[in-house]
Amino acid sequence: MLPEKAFLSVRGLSHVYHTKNGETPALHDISFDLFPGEFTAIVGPSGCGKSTLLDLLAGLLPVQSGYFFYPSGIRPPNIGYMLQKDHLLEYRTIYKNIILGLEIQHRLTKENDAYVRGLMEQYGIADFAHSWPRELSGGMRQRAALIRTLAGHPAFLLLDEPFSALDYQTRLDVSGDISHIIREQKLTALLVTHDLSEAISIADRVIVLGKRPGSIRSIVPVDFEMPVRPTPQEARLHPKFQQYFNQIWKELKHDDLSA
Amino acid sequence: MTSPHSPEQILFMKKIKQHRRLVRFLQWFLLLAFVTAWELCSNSGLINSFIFSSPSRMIKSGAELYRDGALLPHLGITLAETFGSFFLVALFTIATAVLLWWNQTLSEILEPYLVILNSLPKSAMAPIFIVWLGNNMKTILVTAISVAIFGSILNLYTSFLSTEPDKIKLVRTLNGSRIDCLTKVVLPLNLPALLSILKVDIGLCLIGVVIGEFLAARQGLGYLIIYGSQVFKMDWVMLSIVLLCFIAAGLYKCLTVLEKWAASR
Repeated sequence: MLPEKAFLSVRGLSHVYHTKNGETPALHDISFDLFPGEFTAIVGPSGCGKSTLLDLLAGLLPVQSGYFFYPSGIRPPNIGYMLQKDHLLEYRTIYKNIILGLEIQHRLTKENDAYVRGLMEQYGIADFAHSWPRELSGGMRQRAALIRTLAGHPAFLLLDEPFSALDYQTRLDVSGDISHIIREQKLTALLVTHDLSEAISIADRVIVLGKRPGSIRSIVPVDFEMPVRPTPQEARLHPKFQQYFNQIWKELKHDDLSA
Repeated sequence: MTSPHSPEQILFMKKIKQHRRLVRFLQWFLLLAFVTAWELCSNSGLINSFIFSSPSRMIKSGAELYRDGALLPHLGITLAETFGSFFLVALFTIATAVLLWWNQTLSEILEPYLVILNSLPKSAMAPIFIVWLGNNMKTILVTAISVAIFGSILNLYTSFLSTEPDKIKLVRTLNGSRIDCLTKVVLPLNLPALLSILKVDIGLCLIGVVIGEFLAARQGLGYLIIYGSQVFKMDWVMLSIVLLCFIAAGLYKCLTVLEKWAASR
């Protein structure tokens, strides 16, 4: 089913943090491929270097050893990176927050402005354009953060536990929204999470990382064998869901048993 | 949402208002009692009004000075010097704090110097400034600036450093440069800190101006204090001190209004 040519190839990526107190290996020999339009999740225990991997791919950290490249030839000019918290700036209105990236990149054209306003309309925050972030609920804020990420038309989306700061109900809603948007716009996305259910319910493939330094334990394709991909809520009720959960849970626990 | 008009809420608001009124009343009462006691004591000869002056003598000498056209220039020159030095302090503080934030190594090198200069008593420096810069307004401005600037740079820089790292990361994920980090996040995020630092600075500038005027001036309230004490015109000295109180309160109020305006945005 997957196209031949990978969108992104990661080969032998390792990373070590140096501090005064010594060095901490964060990632060890990570290799995988992402395919165009695929939604991949990375799960692993906290401190296994998941965020480090995203920072490397986003170019926020210099690559120390190993490499990654875009064999499909589509080198995304714009990588969308969604952080754990929404980080809306309190001294900017919601609209001003959303266009922050466009403003920085001097790309606040009429077309982009219309695109952003369309997204705000679509995700129910158009009425809050001139509100302050403190006036919005957690879910609304995270939607605003998502539109801020999408405003620059990214081809590749990095998501660093973007739902972890939300309460359970909102989390289901927002993760449903976001996976819908990503599939609708055919974006390639890489989601980092420590929540197995979340990973299985929205991703096409789950990469399981072991304990620090993170190395790949296994890669589990998730297929609910349905003509249309189920929504996260539907997926959670699917009989195969538990099966995947147990499989990945075992992979994660493998560490503890052998240690 | 609870109704803001429930009887309990009304009672609560009433209590708060009553309390605030009581505090206000006692504040004015204290001032009035002090002024009255001062006046009565000096009138009855309990204290020597030649040395301690009295409210009525102060008003009389103030009116005389005003009629001679001497009061307003004294007042104006002190105010102008305070604003001038405050403006320069604000400018240097922001510029230097940005420079230190920009260049980590530079800030590490300069930190001990800033700390020592900050704790050095500036009145000890004033005589040197006179020798270097002459018996003029330059000395007064430099003295005032030296009183305020070092602490204010250290405070603003520390506040810059406390900027949430993830907010800076956000700008970098949006392909922002360091200048974007500075203008979009660090400066606006630290505006409240800057304003509260400036609130302290304006008081420090006034202190510096008066120290400067003690030593190098022919005009200004500091000069009036020194001159008045030398010719035993204690009315002038007391009048100047009271005027300085008003100026300090007024300047502080200005900055508070500015702070509120910034917070409401």
